[in-house]
Amino acid sequence: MSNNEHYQDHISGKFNSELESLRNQLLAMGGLVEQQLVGSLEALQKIDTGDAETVIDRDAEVNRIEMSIDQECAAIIARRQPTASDLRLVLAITKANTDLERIGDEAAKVAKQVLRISDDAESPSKLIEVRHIGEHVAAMLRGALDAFARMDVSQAVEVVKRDAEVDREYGSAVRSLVTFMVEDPKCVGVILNEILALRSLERVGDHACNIAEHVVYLVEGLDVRHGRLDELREAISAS
Amino acid sequence: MSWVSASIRVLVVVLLAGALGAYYGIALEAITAALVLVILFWVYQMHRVQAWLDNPGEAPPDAFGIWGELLTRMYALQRQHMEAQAQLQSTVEYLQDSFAAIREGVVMVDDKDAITWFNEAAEPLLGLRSEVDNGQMLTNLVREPDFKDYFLSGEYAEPLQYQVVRGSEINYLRVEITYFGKGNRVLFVRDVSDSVRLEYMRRDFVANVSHELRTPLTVISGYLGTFADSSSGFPDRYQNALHQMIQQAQRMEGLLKDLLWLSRIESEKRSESLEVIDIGSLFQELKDELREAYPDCTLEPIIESDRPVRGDYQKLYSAVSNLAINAIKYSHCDGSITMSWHVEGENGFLSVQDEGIGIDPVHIPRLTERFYRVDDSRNSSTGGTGLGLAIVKHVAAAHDAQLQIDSRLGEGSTFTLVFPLGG
Repeated sequence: MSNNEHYQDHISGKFNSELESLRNQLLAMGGLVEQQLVGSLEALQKIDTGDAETVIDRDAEVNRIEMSIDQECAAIIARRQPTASDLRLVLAITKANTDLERIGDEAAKVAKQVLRISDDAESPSKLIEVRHIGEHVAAMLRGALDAFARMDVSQAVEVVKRDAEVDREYGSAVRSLVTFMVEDPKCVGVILNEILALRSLERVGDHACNIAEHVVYLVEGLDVRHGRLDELREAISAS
Repeated sequence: MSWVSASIRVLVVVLLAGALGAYYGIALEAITAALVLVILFWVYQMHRVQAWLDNPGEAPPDAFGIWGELLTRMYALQRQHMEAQAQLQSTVEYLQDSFAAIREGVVMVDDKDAITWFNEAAEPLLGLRSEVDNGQMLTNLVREPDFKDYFLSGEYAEPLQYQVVRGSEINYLRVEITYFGKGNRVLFVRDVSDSVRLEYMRRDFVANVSHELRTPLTVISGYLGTFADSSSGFPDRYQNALHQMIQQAQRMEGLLKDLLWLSRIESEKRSESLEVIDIGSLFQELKDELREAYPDCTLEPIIESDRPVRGDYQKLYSAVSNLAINAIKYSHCDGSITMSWHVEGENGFLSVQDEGIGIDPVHIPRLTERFYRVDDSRNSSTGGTGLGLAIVKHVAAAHDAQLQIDSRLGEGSTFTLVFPLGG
């Protein structure tokens, strides 16, 4: 709350509303990307090519919004020359924007894999691993965006912690899928497509984690990227 | 105690001091000293009032004269004020408690789309957190695009139903929004997953049953066809029975076909990739098809506009064909049947008009129900399946169109599909 109110104390009311609207646009884009991710997971669940096509088509919309947010950020930097926390907000938004767009791309990739998987015979893995990781990263993305909306560092830290878990699960999922390939060379094709979808979802987790780190940077002014989680924890306990 | 007596007191003190001073020959000094004392006393009293005002909950200090009176009155006012406030507060709390006790999620939002209050039930439904989320933009936390578009549109005549995915669970929420005050809104949110799932189950059930029934029926009518070809081998008394069996089997096939088609129209999401449909060629195709089946009837297409409709050709064709076949059946080709297309303003009107037996107005509201028949005997003299208008209604809904029915007993009926053409 206090952080949100902070953006209301500019002398120029217009500047406030510009920053506020930028934040709202980013979160609206987040909502769209969440829908894309959930849509691609649903398509994967049902192997529904119609849903998959919808996701692929809508990716263009995500790209368009990304560009418009970027332009607006550039305009704000040029016109207002923000400093301190305002600057951090604009920077965090540009970065989160890029991450969201990448998540949109990964969701479209998963949808493309659904189209390929639908052509193949039924997978022996029953897609359990992929679905599991999918649910995990969807929850991470939601957590990261919630943390961004609330400027909530502790929620952001939760997301960062979860990423390690996803990486672990990704490793074991790949191992179990490789076992299927070893057992039955006929299913190499379909399992390979599954692994590609899995890889995309794992990347979504990484991007969600990045967004969470941008939240920490935005609120605390601390750069916690590249595995400096302990530093982050110290900072939080100190503050 | 009035200001007069207070003034008299001051005057008495000053005059006494003056008289005493005059006795000793220092009248002026004595009066000055008395005035200074009086002023100091008043300042002291003011100080006490001020000290009390810092902590107005306590009883006021005792004070002398007009000061005491002032304090008592102020205290009374203060008490009144506090009582009124407590009463208001308890009313507000009472109202909020009653909202909080509602099992539906309730969220209040101000004119800038920021959350001002929400009850406990809203937390799990919308993923809100009490304490921290007041003052947040609602759409920043409830980010589903369907919800966002509905919320920001400001058009809340129809409630919204949207899908929420949490992990492997898919839930459906129904949101109703009402304005109050200046731009403030109150949202009622309910989890309708159970009824939506039930609806899906019903739909799937109908589709599955129709599908399962079709296979045995194909076998039955296949053999019936073979029997009919060699009907000379049957005794005469079975001829009629055989004929009826074939007829009823055909009717059942028609019924299953319509049920399957209906469940397809119903379950398909509104397709985003719509084709451009030229109504003129649709009418022409329909006319050609029906000429074969009903050679005695003439359908008259009237095209007054070449504006196309965006939609699904197959579905629209089936709707218009159902209307045309109804018109043929209920007018027995008595009088003319017209199919017309014209545009007025932003709406396109596709109507099918006959001069047949017409419909009693009491039936019109229920006409599009499945298997609803105007005559209770449920006889099938017309050979219809009872699903035609249900199909028309669902096709209309899939195209955002409205089905209007105008009819008078004995004078014929007009069925009109009104399409919004904006954009």
